[in-house]
Amino acid sequence: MKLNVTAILKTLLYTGIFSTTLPLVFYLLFKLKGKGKSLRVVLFYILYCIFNEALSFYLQRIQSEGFLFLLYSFTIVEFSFFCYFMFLILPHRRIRNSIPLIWLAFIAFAIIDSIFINKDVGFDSFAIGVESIIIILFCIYYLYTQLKGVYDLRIYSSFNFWVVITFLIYFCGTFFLYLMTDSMHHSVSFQKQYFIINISFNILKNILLCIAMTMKLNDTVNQQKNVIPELDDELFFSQKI
Amino acid sequence: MSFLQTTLGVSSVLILGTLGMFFMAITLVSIVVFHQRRVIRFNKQIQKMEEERQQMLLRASIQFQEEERQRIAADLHDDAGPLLATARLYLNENLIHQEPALQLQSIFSAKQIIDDSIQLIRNISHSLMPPTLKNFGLEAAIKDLFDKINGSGVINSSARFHDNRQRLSDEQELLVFRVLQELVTNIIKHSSAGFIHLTQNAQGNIVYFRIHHDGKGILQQDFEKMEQGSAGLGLKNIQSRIRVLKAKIHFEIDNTHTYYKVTIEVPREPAK
Repeated sequence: MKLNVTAILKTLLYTGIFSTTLPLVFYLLFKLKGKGKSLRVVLFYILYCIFNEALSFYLQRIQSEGFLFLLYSFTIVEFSFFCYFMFLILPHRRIRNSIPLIWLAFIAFAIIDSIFINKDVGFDSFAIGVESIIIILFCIYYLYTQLKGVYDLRIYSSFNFWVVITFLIYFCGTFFLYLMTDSMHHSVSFQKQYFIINISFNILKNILLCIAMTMKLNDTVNQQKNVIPELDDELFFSQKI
Repeated sequence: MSFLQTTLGVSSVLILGTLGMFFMAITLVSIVVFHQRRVIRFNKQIQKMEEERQQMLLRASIQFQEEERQRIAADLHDDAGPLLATARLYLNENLIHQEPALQLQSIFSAKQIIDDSIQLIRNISHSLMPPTLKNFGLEAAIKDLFDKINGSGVINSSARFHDNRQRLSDEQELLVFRVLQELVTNIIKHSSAGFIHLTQNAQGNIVYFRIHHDGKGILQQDFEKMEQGSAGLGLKNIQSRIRVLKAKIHFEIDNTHTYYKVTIEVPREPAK
């Protein structure tokens, strides 16, 4: 029985690692000729995830301390990719302009957290928690704009929508997990749960990204506003009859 | 968090929290998707109604053309036909056998009838295409129309063009003329107005025409209701011409509730 569990966990681990490459395969199949900044951002994010996964697997094997640095840097890089993606797809200029400020504030916070506050803990739960909250809020805001706007195309046939729900589901699902890792990572039972939940949501994230790769890039066509300009009424009353 | 962990246990907090957040995310996405589907369904219904309206306008336009043809046919048959037949009678074969004085009188009568026929055909032709519009453009044609209305003494009318340096294309001018003609006819027929005043102006690429009158007018909602209903062939023609022009029309009343105004916004056609 114990052997079976270990085998299942191993299969899950390899499936998780393998699933990281799936969005890239789908990109090569469906979006190789696709143009668009948001697609490129997602592509670089996928490539970074693959690189990070491979490197972390290797560093864990050799039990290097560089693994922790990789963990911290992943949070910052992942957040940067997400912020840039949101910057590209959000329709309202005011919100878009606030993204660089939020990004800067988060980077500063994450660096301070990793150097001073979270120095000896080993896992940046606090930074990931803040990152998750910001990302979830941005995703909800994006969905709200989609709810408010009138668009010609079905929302679920757009690339951006699927990328956003990928992030939303992934960060919602792993929110509690990452938040508790900080204090619980010594517990063996927690480590098993962490492993299962983390890999499951990673697989789900990669599947959703694969679906996103099959969707249309140009998702929205805004309705033109029917604005009547103010006419100078004086002009029309200028001649006495 | 630590309070929850001690009371519920680590696994319960983790599993409940994860499931709760996961279902929250799924619910959010579902709400957005279902709401958007409903909006799209609603938009499709509106689109269908718009298509039906277009069909109705097209039918009205065809009907109008048929009526116009019938009117021209009736004018030709009832007026020009008998006149030319009479002229033919004067110029029959027996004319050569008649006395010279009678011959001269017949020829003179025939000439007069032919002159009348020419005038009649000219009138029919002018009703189809106003010569002033063709030769001198919209401003002259409108002023001519308003002068004629003014001359009748029934209603005061005036037209003023503020900025007509860049004229509309010939096709657009004819369509605008027809729309304004129909509007003015409606005002004269139905509004019991004391005056009609037309003003033209241009802003950028849009040319504005506004008619003011002090009679009983209609508002935008009345216009939309009437052009959707079975009555109001004239209004349907206005709407179909407005569509061809890619223009907009607004029926309003001024703030003092004294004058009704109809504004037409015509985008200039790009140069070919």
